[in-house]
Amino acid sequence: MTSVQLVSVTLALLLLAVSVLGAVIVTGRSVRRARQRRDARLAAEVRPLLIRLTGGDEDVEEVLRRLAALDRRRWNAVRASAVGLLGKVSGQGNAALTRLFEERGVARDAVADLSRRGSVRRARAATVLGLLRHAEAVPDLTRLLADRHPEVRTAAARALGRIAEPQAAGPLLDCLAGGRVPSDVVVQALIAIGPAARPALTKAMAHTAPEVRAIAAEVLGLIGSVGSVSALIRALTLDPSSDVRTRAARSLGRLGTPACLDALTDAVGLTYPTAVRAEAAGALGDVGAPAAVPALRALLADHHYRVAHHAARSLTRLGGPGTETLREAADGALGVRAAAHAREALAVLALAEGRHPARPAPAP
Amino acid sequence: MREGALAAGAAAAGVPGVLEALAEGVRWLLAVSGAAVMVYFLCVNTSYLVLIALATWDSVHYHRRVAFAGADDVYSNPLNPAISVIMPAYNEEAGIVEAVRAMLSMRYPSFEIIVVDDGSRDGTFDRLREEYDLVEVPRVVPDDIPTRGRVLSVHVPGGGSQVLTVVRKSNSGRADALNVGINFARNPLVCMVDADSILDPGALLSVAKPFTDDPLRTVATGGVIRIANGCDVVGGRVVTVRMPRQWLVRIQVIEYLRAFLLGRTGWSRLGGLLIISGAFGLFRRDAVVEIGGLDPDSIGEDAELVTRLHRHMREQDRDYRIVFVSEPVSWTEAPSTLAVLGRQRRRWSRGLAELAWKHRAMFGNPRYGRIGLLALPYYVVFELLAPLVSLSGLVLVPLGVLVGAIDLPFAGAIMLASYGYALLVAFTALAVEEYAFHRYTRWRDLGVAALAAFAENIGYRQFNAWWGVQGIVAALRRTQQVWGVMTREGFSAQGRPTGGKRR
Repeated sequence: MTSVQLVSVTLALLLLAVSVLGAVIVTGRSVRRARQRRDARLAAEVRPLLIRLTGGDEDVEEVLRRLAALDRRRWNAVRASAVGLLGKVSGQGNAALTRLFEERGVARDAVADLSRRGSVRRARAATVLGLLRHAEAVPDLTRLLADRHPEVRTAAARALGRIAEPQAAGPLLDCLAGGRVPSDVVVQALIAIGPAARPALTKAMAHTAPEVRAIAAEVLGLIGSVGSVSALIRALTLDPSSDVRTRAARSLGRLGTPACLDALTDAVGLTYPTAVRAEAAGALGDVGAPAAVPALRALLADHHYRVAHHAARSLTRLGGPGTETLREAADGALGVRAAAHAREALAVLALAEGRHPARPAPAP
Repeated sequence: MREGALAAGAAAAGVPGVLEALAEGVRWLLAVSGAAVMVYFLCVNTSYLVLIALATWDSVHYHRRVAFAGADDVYSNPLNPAISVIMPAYNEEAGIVEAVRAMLSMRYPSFEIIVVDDGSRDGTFDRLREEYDLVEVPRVVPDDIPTRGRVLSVHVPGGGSQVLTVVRKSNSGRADALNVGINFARNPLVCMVDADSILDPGALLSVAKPFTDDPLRTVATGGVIRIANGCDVVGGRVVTVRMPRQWLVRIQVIEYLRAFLLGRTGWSRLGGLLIISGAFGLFRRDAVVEIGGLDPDSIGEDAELVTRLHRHMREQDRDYRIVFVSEPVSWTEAPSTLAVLGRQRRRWSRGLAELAWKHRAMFGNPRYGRIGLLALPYYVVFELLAPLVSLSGLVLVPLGVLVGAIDLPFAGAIMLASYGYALLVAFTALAVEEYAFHRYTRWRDLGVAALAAFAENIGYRQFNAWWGVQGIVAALRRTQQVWGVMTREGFSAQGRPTGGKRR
């Protein structure tokens, strides 16, 4: 075969491949559309039953029986909608849907799938069990927190959050070490567990991994665990990690007890890292106690932008004494830097109160 | 005497011999050069196929996991990172109000919009002031990033909303305007968008997802840019996706699909994403501040920023990720005339050349991992130099045929095979688009896309090569950088140009 013939054969093969790809595109689109039409038709038949089941205003037994007896094609056409509804409806509607899934053996299949080989299958199963709030699956889901695939670990953590069994709090916190599960998923799960997670959270404040301590400190504030104030103050003052101390400051601001006020007032001092001081200055505004005004006043001229900025914003939240201090600073009593921050804060306050702020002085 | 006669005879016989040898050498050189050009384009197209294969794998991976990705959890997540959207605007009077309105209606739990009016000479600011009842406020701005332009005034809506901030500054270019915006940004993530971009409503949710999935390592994410010409745009949203009406833009749709959507997805999968379009990118603010913001002297400032992020992270031995998100998307108007397209491509080529020169220390340096060993060399060899090789081929192959160095039927067959291979790549990209994204729903658009794939190699690539060479020459000569005017025609409900109006 000559080189020209060889190239010609190559060309012919390429054109054949292009034709095949063209056919694949057209066929794929045709098949997808036909399937969509079929699923839409089947789903339209069944969806009214789903709405009646979750509506909660009639006897659901007959509807449940009919949905449980659906053939496989019809069930597959509405399964995704039904799973989606699980996460959206509550009360009787959710209970009826859960019964439907139980009767169709979905929970049983999902539990079996938790041990399957494919990671996608395991993650899907964990998600379904979470939506069904299948408490019996908690031990298996906890085991999956150590799965080698990140998506499975994350799905398991999310499911444990939906089921909200307190026993999951400790393992959830443990899997934060080394970033095995995204922290926001763990935080949401722990918030869902609520005050029942407090023992595990308090214990986690002594964890060796700073990322675990940081999230524990954050969640203690988010769930309003007033009983944890002393642990948080200890973290704010002594923890070697700046991130832990910053989050402890934020949580103390959320909890807002007198002890929090003292600790935060101390934490704006120069012995603390800048990030902690800035967070503490903001947290003093969350506490909302006028007693914080002197400490915040002293920060308005701070060299660190965020410390001074947060202090000024916090002063706008402390009522008359705070506003008075800002006015005084805006007039230049505390220096140029403090005046600039105070003027900005007063402008924000004016806008929030529906007034137009004073026009800024022209730049020199 | 005899020796002299012999020498004269040899000289007389040697001249044609030397000429013949020279001619043979030239023929050989032309044959080898022609073959090298062919091999080069074989490699270019094969690399595209590899990137498309990686993108396909990524897309399958993504779609199989959508059901349990937890997209709905974002609104109940108290640690969801807030975003500052920075929108530099220069003479955007026609579309700025609508662009801001569309941004304000984005689905995301917590974000602010900072419009940086970069010394516009038209009514950009006045339109915003009328629409949002802007009032001037004093602001203390941290000088985290050094900037060149002078901030003239800061404005917020009179109703007390903290979501929109408009900064007026003296003109200093897009990169510096973005740096000013970053200084003003209050949130941990900064999203850079063009004022004329149209974002899908869920675009912020998608592009921020990697930051919540992997908050410790993710430093930047880029969203895909698609072409809005021909699409129906209502209320600042693309509501119907259609192929453009002009062939020049239709070909760009195929090009964007192959090179930007699938190419960048492939690079992202390889951990070597170098370019995040300035029209839609999300960055960790602290990371951008750490490297001093965007380089106002770079004409390809978006790619340069990403390259510098890579460089900085690698030099600090930090574990990090820069990710490309293939859906949803930002839509932009593509050039519809050769003149505007030429300006854009010259700028891109020059930007890449300057970037390569600035970061030449990274080339082949194992310290920079896949970026130094793979991504940067690839971009230089297969992107930057492609126009030079392409134009060389256009000259050398016909010359080789002319002097008999290359057999005409062979050259023809090779060129057709190259064309066929490029077509195969384009059709593969179309197939992936159809299976993974299926944005173009009309059969007619599918047919037009197929025809555009055929047309791409006839003229369009050659023009691109010429502009690319001009960009390289401009970079070598260090002529003054000019962005040039991007003449925009705007969008309409019927998908036809209407002269800068959107409904």
